[in-house]
Amino acid sequence: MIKLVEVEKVYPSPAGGALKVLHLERLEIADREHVAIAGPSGSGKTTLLNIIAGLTAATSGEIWIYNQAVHTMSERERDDYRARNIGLLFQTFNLLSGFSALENVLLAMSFSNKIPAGQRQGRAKALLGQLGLGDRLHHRPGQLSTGQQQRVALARALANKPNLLIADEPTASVDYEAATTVIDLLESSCRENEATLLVASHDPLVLNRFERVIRLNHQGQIERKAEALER
Amino acid sequence: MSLAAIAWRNLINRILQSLMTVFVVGVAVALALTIVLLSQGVQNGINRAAEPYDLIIGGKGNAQQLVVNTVLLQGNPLQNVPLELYEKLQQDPGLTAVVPLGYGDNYRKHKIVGTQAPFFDFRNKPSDPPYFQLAQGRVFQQPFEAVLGSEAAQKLGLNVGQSFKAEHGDAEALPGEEDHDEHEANPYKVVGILKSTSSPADLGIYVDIASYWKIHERGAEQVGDPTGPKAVTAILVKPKTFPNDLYRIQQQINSGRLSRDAQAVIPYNELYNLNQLVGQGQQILSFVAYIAIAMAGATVFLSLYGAIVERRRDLAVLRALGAGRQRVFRLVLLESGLVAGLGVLFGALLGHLTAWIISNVIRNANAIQIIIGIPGEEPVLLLAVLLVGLVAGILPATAAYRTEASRYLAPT
Repeated sequence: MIKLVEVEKVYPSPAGGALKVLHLERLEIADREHVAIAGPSGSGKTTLLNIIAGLTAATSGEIWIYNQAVHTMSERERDDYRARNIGLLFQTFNLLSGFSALENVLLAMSFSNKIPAGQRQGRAKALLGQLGLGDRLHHRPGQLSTGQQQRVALARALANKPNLLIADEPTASVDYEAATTVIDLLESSCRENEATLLVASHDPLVLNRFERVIRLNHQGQIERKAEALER
Repeated sequence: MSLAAIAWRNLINRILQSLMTVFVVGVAVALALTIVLLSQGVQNGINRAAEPYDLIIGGKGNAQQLVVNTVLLQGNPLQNVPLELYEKLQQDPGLTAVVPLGYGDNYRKHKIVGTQAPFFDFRNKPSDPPYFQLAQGRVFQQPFEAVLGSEAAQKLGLNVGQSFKAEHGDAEALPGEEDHDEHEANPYKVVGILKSTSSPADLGIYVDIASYWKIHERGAEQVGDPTGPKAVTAILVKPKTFPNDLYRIQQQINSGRLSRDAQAVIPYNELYNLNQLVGQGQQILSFVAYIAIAMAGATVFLSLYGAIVERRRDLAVLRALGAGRQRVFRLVLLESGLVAGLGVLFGALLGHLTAWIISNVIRNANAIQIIIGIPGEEPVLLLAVLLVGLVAGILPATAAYRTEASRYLAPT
């Protein structure tokens, strides 16, 4: 289970003082649940995902993920925890342009040590093959279509068999048809891997696909009423 | 993928930049190394050239000129040594060998050294093999037989059994002499060729000094040479005990007790002083080399720092994938180490190649042989440049270390 209690993220304001971008009283997500996070720009969607992923430390509050107290971890511990437990999918894919599709997937496995070294090549090739990229293993991102790049990014996110897959605006860079395919892939992959799925989006097409949508307002707070309505 | 594989791939991805950096580091290393190798090589060559000669006795004048003429076979000889001194030294019980040297003639610019057979028995230490060893033939046994240094034989294209006619080349040795007929009438026959000694001695032609005395007999008498017909340009002596007899003889001669018209010099000391004089130029060159190394370090820094600024997003992705800050730091440091390492490797090869080419050019143009080895400074120099490269990588690595992943992952 993912549980956030009284989590706040405050940045120093350029004008002086403090800028609170996120304030969650309580948020719970069950194991293997698929959840969408919605909200206008600046509502703290990405900040929330970054805090759960351990990329950013919360200013205060408790973050429990699969019974691990992320809020007490050092940055180094969060790096290890992220590498082993979390798959990340970004809006612009963030593939490394100088590395092939296969190498991009292998890179993810290099930092976790979760997959034994002898199995990494095989797993990376199998993942890319399952996503229809078996003949594009040695292509660099620049030699792939947008949809293919996104599938490489998904293979990379799934490389370490994560418990939690986090996708930030995964359909923002693709058209309607591709967006449907992406959501299908994300959901099916998470089902196969028994992973929890957390997707931040403002795309109605995406949001309509999820049974549970958590909506954040401009103050970075959950709109309880909206969440209840969505349910 | 290992960190080294990622670092290597990053370098390949910006191949032109990487090659340029490797090139600049390499040239700086080569410059510094060439100076070290040549300076050491000259010293080696000098050591080797002076090896068999403990003490040289020659006429009054510039001591370095005496050594340069006798050991390096360059320049003009000083005035002759009084014959009576040579005879006195022969009687000295503290000397195991007293060998006369006569200069003045040449054959196609190769000095003809008049000496005696014990010359070929000179060695650095009593336990060492003789400095001069025959490759072919035998040592001369009578006047007008010649033994050639290895390089002299090669350059002159002379073999055992062939003959040549000497030319009178050093007018200063016996001024005003007109003895072309004597040279024409007495050709030398090659009876032996020496093995290479890697010293200027390889350029010499060695003959029985009696040949000199015979050819120059008439001329010497004509110009009234005070030494008489048996002119001796220099004397090599081998002391029985070292250094007692060496210093005793040197002091006796230099104090004028044995002769007022002679000096005794230790060739190694004179050549060392000569090299020290040249060493000042080497110091200036070394300074230039240090500047080049500093600039190479700056190039590594600029190249990597520029790459880090360009690759902030890539580094953020690595961080997002679980690479800790220390790992990202190590990655960049590894890249600087790889660039510096390749530069050092390239520079070491280039430096040795350059030194080898220069030593051969100098070898062909001069008597001094530059013996290129692997000086003790070389590993120190190469490690120092590697360290400079790594230090140059610290700032870019720190910039990578400080990359906030969440800041660079969002679309721009």
